[in-house]
Amino acid sequence: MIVGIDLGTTNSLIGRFDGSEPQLFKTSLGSYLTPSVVSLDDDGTVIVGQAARERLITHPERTVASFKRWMGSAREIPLGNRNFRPEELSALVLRALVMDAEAATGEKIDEAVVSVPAYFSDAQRKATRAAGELAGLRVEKLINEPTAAALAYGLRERPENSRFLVFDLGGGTFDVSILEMFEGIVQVHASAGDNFLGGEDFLGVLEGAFLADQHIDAKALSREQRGQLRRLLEAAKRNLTQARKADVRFTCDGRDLEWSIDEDRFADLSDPLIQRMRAPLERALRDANLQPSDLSEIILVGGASRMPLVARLVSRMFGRLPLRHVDPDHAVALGAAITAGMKARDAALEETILTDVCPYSLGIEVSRKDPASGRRVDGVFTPIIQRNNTVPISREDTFFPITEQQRQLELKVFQGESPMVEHNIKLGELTLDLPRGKSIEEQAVVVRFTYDVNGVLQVEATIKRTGETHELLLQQNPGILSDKEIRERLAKLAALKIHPRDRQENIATLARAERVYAERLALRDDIAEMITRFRSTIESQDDQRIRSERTEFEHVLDQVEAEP
Amino acid sequence: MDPFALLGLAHDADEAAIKRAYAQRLRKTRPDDDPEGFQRLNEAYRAALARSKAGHAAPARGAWNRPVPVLVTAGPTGSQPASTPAPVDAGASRPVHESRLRVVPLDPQLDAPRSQPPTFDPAAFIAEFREYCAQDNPYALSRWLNRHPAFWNLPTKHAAGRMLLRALFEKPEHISEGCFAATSDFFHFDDALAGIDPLLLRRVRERGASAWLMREGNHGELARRIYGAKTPRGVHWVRVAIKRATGPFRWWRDLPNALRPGKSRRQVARVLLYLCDGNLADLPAPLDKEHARFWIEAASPGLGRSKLLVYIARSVAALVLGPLLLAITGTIPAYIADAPNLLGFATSFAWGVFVTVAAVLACIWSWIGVAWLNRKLDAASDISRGLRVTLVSITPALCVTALLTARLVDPILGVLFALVALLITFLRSRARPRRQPATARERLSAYIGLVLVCVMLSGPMSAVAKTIAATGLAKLAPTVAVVVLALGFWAWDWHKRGFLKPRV
Repeated sequence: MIVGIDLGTTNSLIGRFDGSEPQLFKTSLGSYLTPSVVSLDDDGTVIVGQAARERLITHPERTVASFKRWMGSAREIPLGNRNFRPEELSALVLRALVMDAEAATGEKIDEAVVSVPAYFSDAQRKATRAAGELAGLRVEKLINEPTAAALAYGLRERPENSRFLVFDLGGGTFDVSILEMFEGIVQVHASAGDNFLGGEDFLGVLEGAFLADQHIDAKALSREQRGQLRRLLEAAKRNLTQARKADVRFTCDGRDLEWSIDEDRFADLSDPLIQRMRAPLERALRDANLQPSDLSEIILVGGASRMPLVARLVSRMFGRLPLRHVDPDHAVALGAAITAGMKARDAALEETILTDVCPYSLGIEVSRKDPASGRRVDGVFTPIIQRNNTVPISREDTFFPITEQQRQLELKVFQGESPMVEHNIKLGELTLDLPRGKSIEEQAVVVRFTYDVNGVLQVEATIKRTGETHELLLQQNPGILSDKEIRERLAKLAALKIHPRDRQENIATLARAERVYAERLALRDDIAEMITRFRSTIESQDDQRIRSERTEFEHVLDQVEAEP
Repeated sequence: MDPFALLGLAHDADEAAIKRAYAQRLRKTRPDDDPEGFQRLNEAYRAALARSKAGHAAPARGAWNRPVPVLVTAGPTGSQPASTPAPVDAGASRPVHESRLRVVPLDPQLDAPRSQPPTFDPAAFIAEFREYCAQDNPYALSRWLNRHPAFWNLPTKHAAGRMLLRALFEKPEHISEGCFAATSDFFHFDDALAGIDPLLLRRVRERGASAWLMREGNHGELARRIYGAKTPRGVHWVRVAIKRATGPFRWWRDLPNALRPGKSRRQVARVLLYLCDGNLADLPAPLDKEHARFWIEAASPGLGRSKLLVYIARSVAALVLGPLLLAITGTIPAYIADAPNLLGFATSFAWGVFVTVAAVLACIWSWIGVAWLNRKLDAASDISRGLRVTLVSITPALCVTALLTARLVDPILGVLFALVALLITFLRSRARPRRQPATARERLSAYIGLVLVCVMLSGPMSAVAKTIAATGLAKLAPTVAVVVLALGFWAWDWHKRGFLKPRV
């Protein structure tokens, strides 16, 4: 069976297309959202999801979140007694999701469509595929998040002949896509984004303001305290979406700190972040050659887009109110599920075809003669495939050596938008031997770039005179795992113990109790006693008793947490 | 292939028909199954849409190329948009040249913008921008730009960015790294597809930097950048260069300046070259382009017009100075006792110098004549080097003069000339050694120079030979000794420099 997965920075979801509409699977805790958090138990057993999120505060050194931001980098995250790559952590989340889906359907899941931010780079996409493989899934397709959200919106509303903009502000990434729907075709016109802008950054702004106001040095806080503070501020941020003012009460080293922030101050503090969103929006509009007035709808997607600041930016820029037709948390996952259905050639989706774009420019480094001073300037970026062209695409361009005496030509492939290569990302390089010739025209080299629907780039260089063809294998940079490394890591991951799904609820309740214990000073003894009792109940393996006690325990915790 | 034929449509098909046909065909050529077929279909679809739009709606321009809704108010400053209309081509990816920077002002006769954009006064905007740059606070600049109400209108923002670049190009402004980055981020200058040539951006920055360095207080910094340290000598050269190249070229003022020997010309050229960064069009304001060109050319290795002018001036000066010297030496001894003896001595010496100078000038000009005939004048090749090579013959020439003088006038005077020849050879040998051995052409020109000297002096030489044979050699002995020393040193020096050896 093939599923659609939204692998998010803060939350992940899984779903499938059930023949008429997309359907999401709930976790064992009854929620659609699985927090993208991984934690290791004291005995080295892996905990993923809500329970792990609770442990972020009680066991910060054994828990990790927001690792999607490190995808495609060589960073290793220490957790317990070993280091994990971001791909491995994502694989653990994927496994947890797949377990939920398998429990719901009773079928074996081996294929998936995974959503990625539209502006994810080549390395980040490869890392996402590797994460799928590590989780035992064949990643059939990577779908861009705003495109997925647009599919979800489009299939529900069936707008005919309309152009709309999807504004996707998630936990860690920001994406913009402009799409058009006609005759069952979903055509992406342009995508742009910022891979390091999301809800987490707004939280960072709040945290900075809090620490500055209370004269606390961030380094003086322990990881536990930091985690608690962030949780409180996250709650305050959510409150600010409805209320004009939010209060935070934080206990730090026995001191009770009270702090409040109002809407205006928050708007002022996050203005630089809001301004950063303008650039991708403007770029997407310009690339699609459209004016704000040419769009029929603006659709907000992603949890962080609930902030009123975002709606204000959109109304300012487009002169209209944005739409929230679909649940911003679910839209991407629903779209991924639809894409999975399309991939499986589901009859209901036979008429729908999606054409996507390549979100970034791909090209090579050239040396140019400055017409004004006559000097050569190296490091100029020449795009061969310009961004926001419909994929699959194949383009070629002809290049010449600088002098006739030149015997070799260095072909350096870059991805990015800056006119100088130093600000772009290098993908690989190739050195060609040139034939002798009387003029540089005789030594011309034709470079062909082919970019397919799965985002794989193929570079081919042909020496025009001899017809000799070289193919460039894109560099194995340290951020990308090789097949061999993936096999090795897969074996290591298989050795990890994972709590069985039916015990997830107990683990989550215990983790929550521990977190409440750490946060609250009142009723601590009672909670400690209840934790011990619940642990012994779990040992008894009496399902009936465990369930009733868990419900009761959750109820108590709800009450404790409800108190200010 | 014709896009309409590929889509199976007539040429007058409208947008809806094109989309319908595209959708139908797309179901048969899915992007994941048939990439090549899909690319052809997609390109045909785009081409057909573009043509259909061009055919129906009057202007073939996209939304971004519509006349820019900028309200142009004529202000007192000179930084208004160009009045010559030229299309702003935003979507193009090719590198642009200066002319692309021109912005079309709003013509109320064309189409009125759909929604009334906020009024935007470019002159005021650019003036305010310069103020923010002067404060050098990137954060404040960025905040001001972000809050500017007019820039929520995208075409206005787009046009304002182009206009700003143009204004900065025409009236350069020193902008700090941070401020430029903030501006570039806001207006998306740093985008490979924005249609702004990265080299042009660099020029804008360099012009700004040069304008700043030109200010009176920053000459020390300019000297530091050129010479590596802020020395009084460096600052002096900077001042001299700026003074020399300011205002238009006047021959009666500039040619005498060019006569001065020493490093002057080279240093002036160095400072000017640094200021314009190899491109005369980028020379900062008070400096004159043609004037600066004269100084740079006069110091460059090629034999350009400026250099020729300097050579002529120098030759004329030398030839005028010679007789002047003769006249003076002729009049002074009249007031001194024991005049006749001294008069003869001094006059002979002055004549000797004059003859030598004239001989050397003749060599140089014959060489310039040869170069002229070869049409090599404007090529900045090794002409000047060849010219210097010709000066090789100055030592033999002086030696011959010394021998002549010793025999015909006075032995002591002869020794003096020979010593001068030795001194020149010695100084030349102390000069920086050549980086590379001489080329065939250089050696040839050296030989030509020698032959010319020999020919010119062949008459007197034979006379010398005769007189030497008639009288004894005793009187000539010291002169001959020094001459032999000078010539030997000369030959050894050129040998050491690898000049007489063929190039490997």
